[in-house]
This record gives sequence, C-alpha cells and structure tokens, in this order.
Amino acid sequence: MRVLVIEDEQILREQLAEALSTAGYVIDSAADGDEGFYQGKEYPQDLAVVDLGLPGMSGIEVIKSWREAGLDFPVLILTARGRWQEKVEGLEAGADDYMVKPFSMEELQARVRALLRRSSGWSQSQLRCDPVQMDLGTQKVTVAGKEIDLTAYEYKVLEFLMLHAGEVISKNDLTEHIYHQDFDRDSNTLEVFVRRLRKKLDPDNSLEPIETLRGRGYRFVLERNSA
Amino acid sequence: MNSLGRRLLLASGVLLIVFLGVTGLVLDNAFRHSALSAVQDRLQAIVYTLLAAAEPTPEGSLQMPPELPEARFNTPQSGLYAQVVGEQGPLWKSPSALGMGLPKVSATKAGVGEFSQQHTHHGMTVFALVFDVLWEDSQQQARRYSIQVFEDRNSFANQVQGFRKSLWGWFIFLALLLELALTLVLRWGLSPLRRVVDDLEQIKQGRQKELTASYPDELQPFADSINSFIHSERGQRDRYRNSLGDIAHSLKTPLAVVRTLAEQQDMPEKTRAQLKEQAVRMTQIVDYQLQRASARGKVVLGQRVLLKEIVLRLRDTLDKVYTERGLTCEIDVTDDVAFPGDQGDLMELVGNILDNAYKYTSSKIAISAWYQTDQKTAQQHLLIQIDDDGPGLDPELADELLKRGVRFDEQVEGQGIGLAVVRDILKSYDGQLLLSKSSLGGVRVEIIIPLTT
Repeated sequence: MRVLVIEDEQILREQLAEALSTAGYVIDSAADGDEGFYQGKEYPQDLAVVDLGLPGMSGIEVIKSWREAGLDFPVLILTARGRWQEKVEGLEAGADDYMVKPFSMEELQARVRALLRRSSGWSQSQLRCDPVQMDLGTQKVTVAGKEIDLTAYEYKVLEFLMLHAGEVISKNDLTEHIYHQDFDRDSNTLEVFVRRLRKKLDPDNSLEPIETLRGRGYRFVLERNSA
Repeated sequence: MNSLGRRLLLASGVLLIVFLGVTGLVLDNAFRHSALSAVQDRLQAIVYTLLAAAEPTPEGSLQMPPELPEARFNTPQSGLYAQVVGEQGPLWKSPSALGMGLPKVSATKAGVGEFSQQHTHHGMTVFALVFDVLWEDSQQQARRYSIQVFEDRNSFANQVQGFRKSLWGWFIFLALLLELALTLVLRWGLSPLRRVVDDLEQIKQGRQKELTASYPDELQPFADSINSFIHSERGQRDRYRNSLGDIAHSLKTPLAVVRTLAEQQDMPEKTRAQLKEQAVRMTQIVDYQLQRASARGKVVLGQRVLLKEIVLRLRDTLDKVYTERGLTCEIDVTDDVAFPGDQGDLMELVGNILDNAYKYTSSKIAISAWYQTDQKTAQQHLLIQIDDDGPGLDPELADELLKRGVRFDEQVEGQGIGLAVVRDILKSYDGQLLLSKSSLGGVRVEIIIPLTT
C-alpha cells in the first residue's frame, strides 16, 4: 500500500513517514502543496495524509485539484485549527476524514487502515474470503482458522490482493504499491513472493487462491464473504 | 410621530387647512359685501322709480298710481314692500304690504338714501332704504316726504348660503385632492429611504452582503459609509481569525511532534506518560483558549445565517466521516430559520454537538430548529434541538460535562473541549445549553438563543 504524506513541518513529516512505514506502507512524502500534488498525480497512491496549512498550494487546493483530475484515493486531512469551518471545507473539497493536531499516531494508523479498507469496499477490519482471513489491525492471516506465518513483503502482497479481491492487478501496479520508487523493478522477486504465498496458503493445491492471468497480472479469486 | 412620511403629511395637512380656511373666509366676506351693496343699489333704483311715479296732490299729499312699474309691489307678501310717510303719518303703502306692519324708520337727512336692516312685528328681517324728499306744495310750502322701500332678507341669505355651499364644497374637494397628491409625492420622494431600510434588513437576514443599489445623491454618502463600516468590521474579524489560526498552527504542529515523541519506546515508561499528559494538557489549553478567542459573539449589524444550509453541510461532512456506522440523521429545519450571528460560531455550536451525537448514537439522530416566544417576556428565541438514540447520560454527569476540559467518556476519541466551547460561544450570545433525556432514548441537547431585533 502506497501512502503519500504532505506536511511542511519536517519533524512531524518524518514521524509520520516512519510510523506508517513501520506499519508496512510504502511512503512518499512532500513538504509543500505543489510537490505533494505532483506526487499524488504521478504515482499510484492508495491514500494521502494532507496537512491543510501548507506553503504553496493549500491542502484544500491540492485535494480539489486531485479530484478534478479524476484521482479518487482516500484523503485524510490534518488540521491545526480544528474549526468546523475548516473541517467542512476540507471534506467538501474531497477529503474523507480529518484529524486535529496534535493526534495520537495509533489513532492515525487506525484511521488510515479504515480508509484503505473502505476505499476497496470492505466494511470491516477482518477481510474474509473463506477459508482465508486477514486482520488488518493485528496483521494476522489464517487459513481455515490456522495462523499462517508471513514475511513483511508477503503480507503486503497478500494485503493488496485481498483488499482488491476479484480484481485483476498487474505486476506493475503491485510493484508500485508495495515497493519504493528506487526498488529494482527488473527482478523477479514479485513472482517469488506470489509463489511462496501460494505455498503457504495452499500447500496441497486445493484452493488456488491466487490466479495468474498471462500478460495481465494476478487475481485473488476466493470470494469475499458478505458482511 | 416616528415616521418622516407621517410628519410631512401631518404638517402639510395642517398648512393646507389653515391656508384654505383663511382664503375661504376672505372670499366669503368679500361676496357678502358685494351682495349687500348690490341690494342697496337695487333698492335705491326702486326708490327713484317710485319718486318718478308719485304725483303730489294740492292737499299736500302724494298720489301713487294704482299699478306700479315694479310687479312685485302689486303681489301681496312678495317680499318687496314700499310706503310713503308724510309729516303727519303714513300716506301710502304698496299693495304687497297689505296686512303687514312695516317697521317705523326715518331718515336723518333729506336727499340721501339710508340703508339699514330692520325687523317687522312678525319677526321678519328686512333691508330698508329710506329716502326723504322735500317738495313744495301749491302754497309754495316745503313738505317733507319719506319714501321707504323694504326687501325681505331671505333672498339675500339664500344667495349667500348658496355661495358658501359651493365655495366650501370645492375647497374640501381641492383639499382632498392636494392631500392625495402630497401622499403620492411623499411616497415617491421617500422611496429611496425605504429601499435603504429594506436592504439593511436583507443584510441582517444574511441574504445580502452590503448595500448594493444606487441611491439618490443625498443618501449615497450614507450608504457608502455603512458599506465601508461593514467591510472594515468583516476585514478586522477575518484578520483576527487568521492570526489566531496561524497561532494555532504554529503551536499545535510542535505539540503533535511532542506527542508522537512521547509514544516512542526508547524512553522510560514514566517519562513517556508524563510527557504525554503534559502535551495533552497544553493542547487542551491552546484549543480551548483559541476557540474561545475566535468566537465572534453578537455581530454589530445583526447579521444572520440561514441555519438549514449549515446543518446540511455539517451532516454531509459527518456522514462521510462516520459512513461505516450507517447512521441516519433527520433534519427538520425550515428554510427561513436563521441564526442571529456569525457563520463560524454557528458551525462550532452545531458541529461540536452533532459530532458528539454521531459518536454516541446507536442508529439515529434528529435535528430540529424553530422560533419560540417566551410567554412572560415576549422575547423571541431560536431553539435548536439535537436528539440521539445512544446510551443516554446520567443527569449528574450532565453538569460535569459542561465544565471545561472534562471528558466524561474516554472510549471515544475527542479533545473533551467541544461542549465547553459550545457553552462559551452561547454565553456571548446570552444563550443557554440544556441536556436532558431524549424521546429517542439517548441525549437531547437544546441550544436556546435570544433573537435581537
């Protein structure tokens, strides 16, 4: 999952980036509105955390411009003033949630998780495609109730595929959403991760949860349980 | 007498009555005079006719012809009478005076007609013209005869009456016409003032930002002053708010940094807890004081904000934030209900309360607002009521809850200052905040704000 952080205060920006990256997200960050707008437009972000009081383009302008450009990833705004006028304007511009500074990092992570889940059509933090279950909060994955031990990258791949269960995800998309820009994209590591995931989730080849579509990408085929 | 229009109408009405009254009296008087002198001239002429017809007799009397040239003398009670009085008493009476007692009059001088008003025995008022002549008889002796003509006053009185009737009739008609014309002229002349008042009312109701129409030269400077007053007041308010916002931004970003640092694991647990606690306290102080300082309170020009639009915007915002809870929020606010103050204040008031309702409710929220009149004081109030069907509230907690910075339920994220801010904003509007049990089962929050008109 790729998250963009736009915050002009350097320490806070670094804290945000560190906390989110520890939680397993790929982070792009920007210190002003113009740079932030560009990063949101040029890279396939899954979510953006935007401070409203930015130098250059204001946070609200950035969000409006993204929405006008047809970008619909969820946006969490950070506001220092905490006035309703500002919150309402932010959400009317196209943001999806707000947090008032100072906030607790845990709370912010919970909101980010919820927004990501919501934007891919899941209504609960338990992603269930029987018999596979993923808990976004604890990052635990079980198959038929049995916990599966995954590495960080394996988890990221599975999380992205499960969040978009039923959709075809190209290798390129998957790479951009789980790796930093400077990652060596030529490698076949993605294929390695998928192969390992298949083995861990489905050791006896009875489920076949991840389908490969030649030349198009991957698809998580187990059906989402209705809530 | 607090209306310019009424003042002018009243003053012009009084002037009109005085002017027309005096003119009427003068005209009436002049007409009477000329009518009287016409009567006198006519009677004088009749005297001369009688003189011409009279024949002195040798016995020293006067012989009058049986048929007189003036027909009215020959008809009894015709209103015109004549008699001739000699030195020894009446010598002749016109046939018209048959059976009537004519008043006894005499002239002081011969050869001059003397005009007067007299009363007969029957109580009739007549004009009398007495003309004495000296005639020599056959013995060359001068004899004095008094020729007397009387005319009933009635015909004169009728004439004057008729004149008065038509004079005052026309004057009243004219007065009404003028007053009507004045009313129309005043209405037209004062209409720009009425427009200014209407426009100010529009500004009060928040439908217009300033006086936009063009006014007559006499009023334009006044309108310009009001506009520049409105602008400077708004500009000042915005600058004030922006600088407060800047302070908030520059204080709270470092606080956010501190708060995050306090969550890092490489410090002793106790230090972290203390750091966090202090950061939270600082945050609450900054939040509370800033929100309080940026609350506007009553606005100079009695500005109003339509409530429904703001409530709808807040609902859409909160619906988006709490989208997963699947809550329904019913709004029962008519289009014309307005909040008597600043839009930012209204957003803080309703936003904070509505946010609480969204946090604690189970499934449903209801907002309604209406105007209410106090039975005793006749003061009008705006009442905003927000209900939820959440777990409700212990009455003892309600008081506690209204106090500054108290957060009665740590389960749901919140800075705990929302209601305190609401209470402070309400104080600046002389308003009230009430908490009670809702008919939906949860909490009912009522905001009561007196309307200043």
